[in-house]
Amino acid sequence: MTLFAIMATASLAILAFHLVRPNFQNLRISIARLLPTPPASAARRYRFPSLPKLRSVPFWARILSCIALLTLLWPQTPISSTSPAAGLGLRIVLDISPSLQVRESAAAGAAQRIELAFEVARSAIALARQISPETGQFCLDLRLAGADISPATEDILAQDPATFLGHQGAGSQILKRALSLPNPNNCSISHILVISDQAENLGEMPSTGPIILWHQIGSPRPNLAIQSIAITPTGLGELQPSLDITLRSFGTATSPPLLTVETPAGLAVPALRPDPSQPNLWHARLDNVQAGLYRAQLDDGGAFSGDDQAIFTIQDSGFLGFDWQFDMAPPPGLPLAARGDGILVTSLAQLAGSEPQRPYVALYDGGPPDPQRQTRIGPFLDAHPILQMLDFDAFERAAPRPAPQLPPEMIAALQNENGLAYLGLRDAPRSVVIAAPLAPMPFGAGASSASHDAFTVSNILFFAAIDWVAQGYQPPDLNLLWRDTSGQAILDPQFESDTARALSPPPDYAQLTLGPTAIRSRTVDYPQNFDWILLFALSLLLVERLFGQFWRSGTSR
Amino acid sequence: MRWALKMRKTLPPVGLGAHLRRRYGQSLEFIEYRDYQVGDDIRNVDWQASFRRPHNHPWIARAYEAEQAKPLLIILDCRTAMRLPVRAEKLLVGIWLAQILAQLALRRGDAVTLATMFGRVKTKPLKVKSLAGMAQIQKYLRKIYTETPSDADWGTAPPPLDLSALDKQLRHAAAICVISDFTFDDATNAFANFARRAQGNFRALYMLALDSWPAERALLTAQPFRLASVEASPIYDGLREADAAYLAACDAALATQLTTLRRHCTGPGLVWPDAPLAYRNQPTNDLAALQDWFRQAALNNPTLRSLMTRVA
Repeated sequence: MTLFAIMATASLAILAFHLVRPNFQNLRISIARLLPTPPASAARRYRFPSLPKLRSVPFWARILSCIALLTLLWPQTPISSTSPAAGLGLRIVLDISPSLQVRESAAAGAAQRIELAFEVARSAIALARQISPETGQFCLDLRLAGADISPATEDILAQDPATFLGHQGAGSQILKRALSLPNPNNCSISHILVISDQAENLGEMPSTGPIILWHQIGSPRPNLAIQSIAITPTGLGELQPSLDITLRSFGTATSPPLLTVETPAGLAVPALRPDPSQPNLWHARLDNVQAGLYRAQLDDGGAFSGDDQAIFTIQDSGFLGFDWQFDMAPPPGLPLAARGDGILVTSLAQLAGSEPQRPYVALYDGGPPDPQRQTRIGPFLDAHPILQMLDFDAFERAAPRPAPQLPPEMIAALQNENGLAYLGLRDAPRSVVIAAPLAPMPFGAGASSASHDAFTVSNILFFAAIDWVAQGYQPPDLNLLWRDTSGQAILDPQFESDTARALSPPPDYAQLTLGPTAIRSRTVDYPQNFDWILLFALSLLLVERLFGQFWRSGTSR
Repeated sequence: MRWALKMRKTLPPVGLGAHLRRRYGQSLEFIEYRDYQVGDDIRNVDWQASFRRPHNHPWIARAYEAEQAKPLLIILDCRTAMRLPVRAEKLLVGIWLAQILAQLALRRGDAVTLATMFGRVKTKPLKVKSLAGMAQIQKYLRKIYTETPSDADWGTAPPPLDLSALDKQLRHAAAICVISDFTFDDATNAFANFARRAQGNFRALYMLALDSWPAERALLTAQPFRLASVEASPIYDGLREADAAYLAACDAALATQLTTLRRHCTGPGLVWPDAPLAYRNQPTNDLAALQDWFRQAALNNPTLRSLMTRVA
């Protein structure tokens, strides 16, 4: 209808455009040089004749093309099946996610959203029963959408609604999945009523199928949520990881959030930094955290309490450490981890073909520098962090022996001209095969320049490899648990936090009287010869453009 | 019956041609009998008449008129204003006139020289000696017509008139035809001086005046107008209209221009009739209607009638 109105307005505008005529003419007079000053005219610049210029080809081309398009658009309105439905099969999908415990206001006795949802369901069933004599057969399919979609009977609507609240969020995908459930026995679903506190989010739906009514409940209420908690792994430069907590507000926050974190070392109140790019985000950071149990708590977290408290654990393995199993050399001042944890440092021979799934550094004996050995660097990975500090000239003078063989998942990052690798890499998880670092030559013990270069090159490569592996170290999961104020565990609270979204008006329940041909399908009954009429309209536009081109060129002077 | 170019017999000749002169020559037009003189062609002696005379009298010879050529110089005004009125340009009418005159002259064997004045692009005069050269003339005129002025050219004054190159052409011309509306600015008398020089040596100067003012006058009275600048004329703001007093003032200004120019050009060979080739008194913007008008008006125009005659 909107398109039709636009086209009709466009037609009237074209008509008005062609009716307007200038009330003057632009003249060039050949003896203008001789003419005296002409007197000024008080006439209006434009006039509005009663009839358009009937001989105007562009006018008729534009009007006819508009009429043709109007003909095409006239039936393009959703077809409302006015015929009475053969039967009414009503499926009610009731959202029982944790956010339904939100109350309508901050008052203590205010109704919960789940109560409103039950009330809406009861009203809808009553209305359906009331109109069912008109539609004939009536059947009801009640579904509860929480962690999953479960069937229910009408009896639950008479019970305490709070007892049916789920502990896992009902994402929009779960609600949409309810639309594709098969028909129950002896019941052909013609209407689906979704009762949820989420806004309608159906996306692209098939053109046919049941009529869908989405009844959104719950007044908007501001909420504060702990959106995410992440641990930043340590590198070689720092020995303790840090903890990043992100808070998010929905709606207008009445006051700045107050976050407290119970740590093994005691209670901490981290400072909150507003996010510079998003005004409703805050970030908190705890440095030098230790292993143990943590609990982050938001005070006055708003309407929904399920996202106000998070309990998580930082394990010992969350800290960077090296499991040093390389017997040929002692660990050079690196933080050590328990055996089996952290980054494995071992000899390439000990791997024996079994490549560990955790990060590792496999060392092989590169041997002392040999002046007789002529080394030429072959292919290498350009701009790789391990090779950035390496002087290739020094490396060619004091290169170790290449690795005898790389494990199968490794790629060669630095080779000699014969294709033998000095450096092997694996990206996930980060692992390295490299020559073992040489011990420093005793001062004054006849240390040659070549041996000094060999010591420097091998240690640069070794520590650059250790640093690269350490930067990719991922600590284990925090095992986050969310709990509401009553201690109930909440799963996936991020689906529920937005309690401040706008409330949409209720759907049109008069559609319960319509047949199952869906009103949402916007089925268009195009007129016969649609393509020819469209071709005719386009041809008219082409004629108008061609005529306009010649018309302009003919009056260019 | 067809039209032919007719020029006064007193015009100066240039070589042998088709025009008869009141002087003895070798044409077939008989003038008189006269006494045979030494040097006369013996074939012109009328022997029967001579034998009827006493024998001591000289023989009687037939005298015939001479046939001499009278080349024509056609000068076409190519000012920007000649391209008005729109779709009924005076330049187009002038081109038609030039084609007619050139064809009539060439058909009689007279050479034709075609030149322009006030042209934005300098063009050399084109001299054609035979009827086979009509294609050159038409190409020359087509080139003039297709050089349309730009928007900026309309408001600028025409270049200064320089007819010195045509002085050389005058020596080979018996008659000069100038096709113009004669509303150009001749403050330096460059055109008037040329016109007087052109009338020397008994040459005739025909002024073929085109008058589009009746049609343009009708345009001014049709409805209010905005007047664009032509040849550096003033630009007026807002809408203007032409009342009777204004039109009378325009008539007077045009008449003054033409009278002044004619007075400055007056000489022994000037042929400038009072009645120009005037457009109809109505807006003209149709080429077919313009052609119909031209067919009727051209034959009744005094200047053209003085240049043409009907021959069998």
